[in-house]
Amino acid sequence: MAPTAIYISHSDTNVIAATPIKGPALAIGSLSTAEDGKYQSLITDLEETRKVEKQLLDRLLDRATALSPSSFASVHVILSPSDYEGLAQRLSELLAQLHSSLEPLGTLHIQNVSYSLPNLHSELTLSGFTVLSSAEGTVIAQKPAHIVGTSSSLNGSVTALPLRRRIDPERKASKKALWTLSAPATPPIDAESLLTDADRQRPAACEPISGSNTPRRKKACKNCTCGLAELEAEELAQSKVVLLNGAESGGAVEVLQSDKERLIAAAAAAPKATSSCGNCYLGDAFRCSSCPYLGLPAFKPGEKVEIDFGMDDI
Amino acid sequence: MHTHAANNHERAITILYATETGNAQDLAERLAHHCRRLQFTPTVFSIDAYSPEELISETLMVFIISTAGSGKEPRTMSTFWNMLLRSDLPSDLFEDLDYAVFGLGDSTYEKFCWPAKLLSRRLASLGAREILPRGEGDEQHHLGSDGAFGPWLLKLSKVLLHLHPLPEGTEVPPGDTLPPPRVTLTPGVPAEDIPEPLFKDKRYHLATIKQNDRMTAPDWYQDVRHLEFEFDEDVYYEPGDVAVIHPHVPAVDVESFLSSMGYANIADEPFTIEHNFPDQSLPDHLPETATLRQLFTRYLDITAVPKRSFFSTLRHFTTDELEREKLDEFLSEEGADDLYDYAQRVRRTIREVMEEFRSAKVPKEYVFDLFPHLRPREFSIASSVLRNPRRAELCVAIVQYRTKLRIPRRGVATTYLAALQPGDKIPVGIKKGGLITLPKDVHTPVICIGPGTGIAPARAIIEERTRQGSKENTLYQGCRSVSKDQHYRAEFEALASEGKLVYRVAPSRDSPEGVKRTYVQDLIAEDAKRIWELVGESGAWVYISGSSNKMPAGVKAAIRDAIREYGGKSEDEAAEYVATMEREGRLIEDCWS
Repeated sequence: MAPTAIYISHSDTNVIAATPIKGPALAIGSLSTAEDGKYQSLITDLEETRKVEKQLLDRLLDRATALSPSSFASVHVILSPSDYEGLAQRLSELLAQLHSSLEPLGTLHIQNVSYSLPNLHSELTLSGFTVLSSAEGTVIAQKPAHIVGTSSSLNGSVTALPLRRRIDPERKASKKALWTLSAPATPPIDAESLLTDADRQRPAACEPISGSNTPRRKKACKNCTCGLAELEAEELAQSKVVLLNGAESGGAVEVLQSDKERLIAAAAAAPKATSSCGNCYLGDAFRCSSCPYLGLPAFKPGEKVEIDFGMDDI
Repeated sequence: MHTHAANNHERAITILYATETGNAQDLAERLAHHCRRLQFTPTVFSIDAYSPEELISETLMVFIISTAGSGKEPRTMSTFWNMLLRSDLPSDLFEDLDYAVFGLGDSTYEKFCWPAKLLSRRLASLGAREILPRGEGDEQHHLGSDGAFGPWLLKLSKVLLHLHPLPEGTEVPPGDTLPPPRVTLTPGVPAEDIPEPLFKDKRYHLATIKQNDRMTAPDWYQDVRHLEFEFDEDVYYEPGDVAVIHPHVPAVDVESFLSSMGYANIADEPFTIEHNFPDQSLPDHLPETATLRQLFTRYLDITAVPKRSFFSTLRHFTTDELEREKLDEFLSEEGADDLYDYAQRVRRTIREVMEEFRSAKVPKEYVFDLFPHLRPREFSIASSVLRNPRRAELCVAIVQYRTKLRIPRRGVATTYLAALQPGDKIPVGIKKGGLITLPKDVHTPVICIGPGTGIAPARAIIEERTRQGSKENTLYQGCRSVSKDQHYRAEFEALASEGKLVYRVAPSRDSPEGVKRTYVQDLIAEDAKRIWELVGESGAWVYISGSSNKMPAGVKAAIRDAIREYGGKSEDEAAEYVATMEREGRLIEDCWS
């Protein structure tokens, strides 16, 4: 049972009202729900905390009465299943009237509806409502604060941005409560439907750097499945490698990787090589691409470099 | 979960990142630095450390979102994302929020940057205002994600200053100045017995090495170890859970590094570390006082391959003309390929780079800004607590390989483990794997497919199940050769002879010359009828663990074929059956790259 309201006198600030006073509501019933008492029940409940305007469905549909725009904080509809079924054809008309009669952020409560109106959700959305919940035969929808569908993003140049709405603390509190609900019962939306066709595009292969003649190479991904990693490995195997021939003059020989094995044995017997080029000692960052010391760490100039031609044990 | 008071400060900006390998975190921290220059007050959170309730109170946010797998959001983002997907949220829920999104992705995938795109659209549909078009970083760009991040950051700066102009008379410092260091170091007093910081974390336990044995044949190219840890107290873990190892860099490498940096004479002086900017992260479990030697052994990673941002920070500290020119070349657009060849392609380490850029004088206060954190590594636990609540066993392949660099490349964590001797004591963490759950009924059949080191979680599952009294277990083990790398062969053969395990082995290189190689999926195809009986008629659960290359897809295809052939289903129905198994949690993949 809903508690009765307590009227506070201004001098009595310690007493808190059991329920706050709410904005005006519109209650819509039909002959059926007037007869079976459901309509009266709804009105009695609502009147405990607010002013209630009463209208019958037929009068609204016949335009015998007009509703003033933005005048209700909430609209409550209670009809019989056959009323709802009969309403199907004219649903969008009714929703349009209710939409304009609601204040921004006002809520629409359609009770006792169950499965009688299969197109209810889509009609609500089309009429500009946001469906908040649908449970136990009651659908609750809301009129948005601003028109749905516009966004104010800055594309390209920076333009003047529209003023922010003044923050409404009560609305803020109810949004916060909704967001922090710990076990919401609603199913998730289909996220992928949010993406536009443009979103689903991806960039084409990178263009070569303008002005450069060297061909740009696409790197193989870590888990390459297209074969590029194999190609890179093959390239490496086929590439030339420079072997020091171990002579005092520090000369170098260019051979294929595949010949390397054969030469390793020969080189193993050769005396150690010495540094002959001015920059070789600096490290790979400063060596030219034909430097015989590529792949070796930096060393001190004049230092004897030991090149270990031991068998690869990997 | 980290809670914080909503930023009421006028120039507050909240930056959330969802990272996979640390790239998004890097960009988030760079963005925070940048915002500070624009006189904003940034706070940075990993998206799973942020309380989603706070979102309703935010007014200015930037999201840096990576892409996982083939288009899914990073695991750290799932909880947050699912909250946003509720269908009962009003379209004006976040009308007070200004936001921007930058995504990191790889354009070889169809769902390029999808998590970032979806987030951007969803926030807009809930009334938030996107203040500039989202940025999309592409791994395939020759500058990587930096290619898109640089220009996007400039645009973001313009918009931020437009929305929140600087106070009168203030100016933005020029872009390439070195930001202040994230820490202050003051000479500290060494505590006599500094407790191991890891033990403040309840997940860590002291472990004694009981065994560290090579399982592969001595003449085999790969060194795979069986490690046994014994704890000084009972621990709890389930199949699929992981052991967390904090590696140490080898002492000899740390020593040569300290010398080349010019830190040799202060290497063992203790410093107290004060964190100046909370949005610029420090390594986990960092002690309050440490020496440079300790920092480079345990907390900063000189074995890592440097990223672009390393070179651009290093540029501030190089004094030699030649070195500066080289860095400028590497950092230019035209030099991007050369930088890739120099560093990433050959896996050159930071230590090796520093030996070539000898003129760099890095003040010790900047070490946390220049060098990346030494991250802990996770290894699937290969045993069950039901056999021994004080033991954890690992099956680890020691990482060692060659590139064009003469000196072999080594994995820092596996090299550390390989050197441990029985009797050594180290802190080991136990962390939930989160992917594997076992069926409640021990008589539900289970099929494990574990090639290579994928045998670790499979062994854990089988050990746990057999201890619970289950006999309905099947194992498909892939290896290269029965005589070289069939891990735990004797154990599995023993279980098979006791009727507790159906044990099938696919040694891929044992086939004679010219004969096609046998893989686990080929065995599954051979056993198709039995596979259908187990999966379709007895509700068996399937676990695939190991390398995430082509194996999982091949295995799933073989299972699908078995369902089609013996389950009397069409190609589509069989595919749907497998998809349903995955959705229901009856087909689980625990794979790594």
